[in-house]
Amino acid sequence: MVELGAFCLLMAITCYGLELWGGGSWLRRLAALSSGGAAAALVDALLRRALESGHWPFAITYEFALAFACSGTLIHLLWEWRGGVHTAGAFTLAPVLGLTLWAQFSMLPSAQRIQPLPLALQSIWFPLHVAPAALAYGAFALTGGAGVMRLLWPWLENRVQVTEPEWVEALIARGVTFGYPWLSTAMIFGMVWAQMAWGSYWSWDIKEVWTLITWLFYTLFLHLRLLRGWHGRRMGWLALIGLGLVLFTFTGVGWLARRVGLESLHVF
Amino acid sequence: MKDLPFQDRPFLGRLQFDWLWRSAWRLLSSPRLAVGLFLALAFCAALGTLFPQEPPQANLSAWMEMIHQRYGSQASLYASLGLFHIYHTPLFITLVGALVSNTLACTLRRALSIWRATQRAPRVIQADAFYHRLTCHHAAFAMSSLMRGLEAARSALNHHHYRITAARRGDVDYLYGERHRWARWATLVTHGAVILLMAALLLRGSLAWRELRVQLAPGQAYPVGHHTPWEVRLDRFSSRALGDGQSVEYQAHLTLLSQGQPVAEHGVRVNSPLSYGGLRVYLFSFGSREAFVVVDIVHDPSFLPVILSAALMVGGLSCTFAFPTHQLWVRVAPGEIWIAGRTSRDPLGFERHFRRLAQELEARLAEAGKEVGDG
Repeated sequence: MVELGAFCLLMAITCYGLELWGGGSWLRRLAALSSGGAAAALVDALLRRALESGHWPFAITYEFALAFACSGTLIHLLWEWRGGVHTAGAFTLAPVLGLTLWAQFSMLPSAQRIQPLPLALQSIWFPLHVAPAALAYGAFALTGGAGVMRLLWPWLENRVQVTEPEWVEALIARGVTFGYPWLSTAMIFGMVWAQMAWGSYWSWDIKEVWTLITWLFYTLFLHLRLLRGWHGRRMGWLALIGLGLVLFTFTGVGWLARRVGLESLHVF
Repeated sequence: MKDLPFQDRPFLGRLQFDWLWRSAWRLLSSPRLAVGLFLALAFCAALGTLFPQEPPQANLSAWMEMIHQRYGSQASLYASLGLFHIYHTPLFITLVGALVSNTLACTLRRALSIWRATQRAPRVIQADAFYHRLTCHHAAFAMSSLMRGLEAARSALNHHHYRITAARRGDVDYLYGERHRWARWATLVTHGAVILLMAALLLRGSLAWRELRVQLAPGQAYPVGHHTPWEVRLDRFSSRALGDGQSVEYQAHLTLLSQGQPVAEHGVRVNSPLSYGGLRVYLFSFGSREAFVVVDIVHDPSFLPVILSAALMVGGLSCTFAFPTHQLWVRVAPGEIWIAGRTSRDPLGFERHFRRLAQELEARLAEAGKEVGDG
């Protein structure tokens, strides 16, 4: 099912891209349909894993990557329904596709295998902490893709039929304002869980610190929007840096902890 | 004339004081300062993940030995720069303090401006050019009477919960509608919650205490101390294999005693501490052949205020982002209705809302026209 999800995402990106290059409006409908197919396939893959393992499907990196991609696709569909996505799907869905391909084709089968849930994760706070994080990351992935579109705008407007770049900036802002409260919620639930499990809601663990850095970065983004001169391409760069931070917090922290020789309660 | 400089002195002094005060206030309440502080804090936080940080209540000499082995002659230099306890250095604490002051000043300034805005009467009558200047504008032809056109516009706005103010100039009627006006205050709730959160964290520094890695053999009691009458006793330690065939759950049956009398008991497991009167006892590890267990005893009164203020912050954020203030201006002239609007956030969402509202207005006007025709 994950392969089907990846195929549907590729199809959606292609249709949005062709529409951008002057294709008919039927391409847009096909793109939205493909996005729906991708979301259904990813939800199905997660549900199957949940039923097979008997626990929430966020326990290992592979499962969280799927949840991350799934939430990105669902948020994209929500935006399609609420309007304003236009042809940006060609860019916003690209990080989601990249993530799905990475999880499915570059991870070892042993890293994809269902594992028994460690004792520390057997808590109601586990889904309450991880699900909002997946939602936040999904929104930030779409935002990063929109950031790339904003950066390529001068190149795009000479080649394809596009209107003003402001709507891409509005899309970036929409992504951040959607993801930021979810990231904050994930942090709060994580704090409650840490208090229940270890007796300390904040212990400057490397994963906690990089989540805080990501949160500080998006706080900075929201404040920069109020300042003059921080629109246009700069906003594109900010969205892209934000996505970089999200991906580093997700996949790079374990590597950094091993390299520096730090102990982490979140790296196992 | 000779006396003038003396008379001027207090005035000049007051001017200088005013200037200084205004400059300091402008700097303190500036979003640019906030941006600089976010960057500085993020940088310091990232730096702290490049060096091992001194663990609380660790065996310091063993830890320093490990540091010296790893960093050699540079260990002392790094230690003097505070790189091994970066989150407790004066620099980091100053940055956090500056951020709290900045948040407080911004909140006050914002509160004043929002208060003034809410006290001001809305500008209902706008020039004709204003309607075309806004990105979202629409013109509808009203074939029915002026009164019916006005009614149609009113009911469309009412249907979407706009608060309406009306005015009239000559034979033109004007409406001003606003919704989610209250959401402006949500941003103050968010910023206020950040200040509360920081205050709660101060509580942690001054009132919280922890007894870490306490070893307990079965039957042994450990006096908690910290001016409490409590002792923690290990009654027994047990383990059981879980259904998945691979995990084993460990459980330490602990009793909390007050002056020798049991006041609470609990089978302490991972994610399930013993909790009594603000005290929590956590199972950390256990010795070989279940000879002893290692527990952490924690008293942290800041937990609840921190979580409540963080939840308040998220509530404020959600209201700010989910309920942007929408403003609409309607001009009802004989035969024609203009409508224009703007939003504080999410222009894409507003564009869709505005389109729907304009369609609804058209439908109501058509219905009114039909009624007039039928009449």
